[in-house]
Amino acid sequence: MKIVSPYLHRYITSNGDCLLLEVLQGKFFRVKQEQIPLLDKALEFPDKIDDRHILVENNIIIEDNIDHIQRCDKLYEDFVNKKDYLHLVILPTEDCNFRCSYCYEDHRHNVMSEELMKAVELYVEKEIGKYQALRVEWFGGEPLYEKEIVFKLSEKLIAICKNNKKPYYASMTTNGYYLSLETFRKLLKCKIVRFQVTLDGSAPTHDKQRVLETGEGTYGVILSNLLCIRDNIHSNFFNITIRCNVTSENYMELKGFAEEMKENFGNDARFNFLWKIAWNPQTGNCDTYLDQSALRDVLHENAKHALRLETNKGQLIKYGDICYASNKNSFIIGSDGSVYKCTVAFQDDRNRVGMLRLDGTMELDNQKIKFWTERKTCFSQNMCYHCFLYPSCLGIYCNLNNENQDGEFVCSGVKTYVDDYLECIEKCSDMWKYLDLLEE
Amino acid sequence: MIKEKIIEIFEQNGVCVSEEGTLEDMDSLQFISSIVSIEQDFEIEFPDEFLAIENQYTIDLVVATVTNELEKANG
Repeated sequence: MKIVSPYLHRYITSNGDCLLLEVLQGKFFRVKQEQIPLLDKALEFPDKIDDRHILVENNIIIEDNIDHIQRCDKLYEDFVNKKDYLHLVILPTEDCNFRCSYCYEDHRHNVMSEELMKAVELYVEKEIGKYQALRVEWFGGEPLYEKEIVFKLSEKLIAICKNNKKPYYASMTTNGYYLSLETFRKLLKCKIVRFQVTLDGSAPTHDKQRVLETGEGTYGVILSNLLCIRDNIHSNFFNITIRCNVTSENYMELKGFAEEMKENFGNDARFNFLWKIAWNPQTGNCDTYLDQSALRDVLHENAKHALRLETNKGQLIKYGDICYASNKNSFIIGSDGSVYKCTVAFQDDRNRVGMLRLDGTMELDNQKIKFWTERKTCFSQNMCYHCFLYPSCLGIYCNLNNENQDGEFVCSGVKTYVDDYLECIEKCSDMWKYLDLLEE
Repeated sequence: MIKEKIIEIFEQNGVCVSEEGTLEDMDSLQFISSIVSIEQDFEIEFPDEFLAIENQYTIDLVVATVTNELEKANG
């Protein structure tokens, strides 16, 4: 007997075509408007569809030979047990040259010592054999505040991976102020190929939120750096996500900013965009400056200007909305050797899960680790096991935020905006596969 | 020399290169890591069209592309 994939979502775009998102496969399909009646009929009576039908070939209609609950459980078990890569987020320093209005970090003046850098090497040397690859993320503070540490430690870690025949892949979150062309070239040599740089709107609004310690604006330098990279680096194998943290300050000026980004980066596939409603660090919880519904307006502007939304698109596919902290093989190493799980809750005692010793051993509190890596007891099979987005989050999208004050499980916000994301992606992506149902 | 170096880079990234020159069971992380290493070591940049034929990579194709880019760079 055949059924429609339980992880299929259907959306009619503003131009009348039908988009199909199959979350388990992470694939996006498109059916032209005039063929929607054929699609509807096939989805209504899947058991009447021939085995060679295009919807069967693309696993939109599947055999009903697996117990659904078992499939959901297996997805979760496969995730928690996977050992594909060791993921290390390394903080060369917690200090930063910026003082952003919404920053939650305390900007300690610590710098990672030579002894601790050696400890990181020893740790990776001991552990890499258990994994298929090493992924490193450079974070802070501002990681380029101590760029020599990035260069030196990268060289060592790349050599360890080469000797063990494991691929090495690195990324960096940077404010972009020190991301000169010369530095960027050196970072590419360090195999850092993905970057996230923040621009909080055009210059007047960005320079109210993201300023130097001295209070000076930073937009001009950051934009200049990005344009220089755009024009002088010809490799196709790097990617820069331009993130915008939306607050009440820049919310009213998003249209102009989206136009500016389209003009500067819209034609370069190496640049894409990420929109977030900024958290308020004053409240001590995850309240945002604006209601999350403001995201809809943001995505509308994004769609109008056809800006690439790669990061958000990634949230809609298998494992895509699971927080890195839920991964048993993911650790954050602070500049003093403290080991954490999450980069937005450094002050939370639950987040300090261990210590990297100078001999390269990592001491971990397994009870604390479980808070991040296991599903909450309030997790609801009824809510989640019948959700088309289940493969993307498995109910562990953010263990800091997925339980409300009444102890009830809370759904990921991605579901609220999935159609808005699809409208954005539809306008600018070439990742859709057209399904021609008339060939049947 | 170019071919041997390229094979070495793929193998350093955990990619198994068959006798026929195919890149067996290469995942996206291995691909990116290998290609970035090749770009860095040979000081070239792979052209746009190289990306367009993903999933059909062989050693001979990579060698040909690298050789071509080196010739362009040397005028």
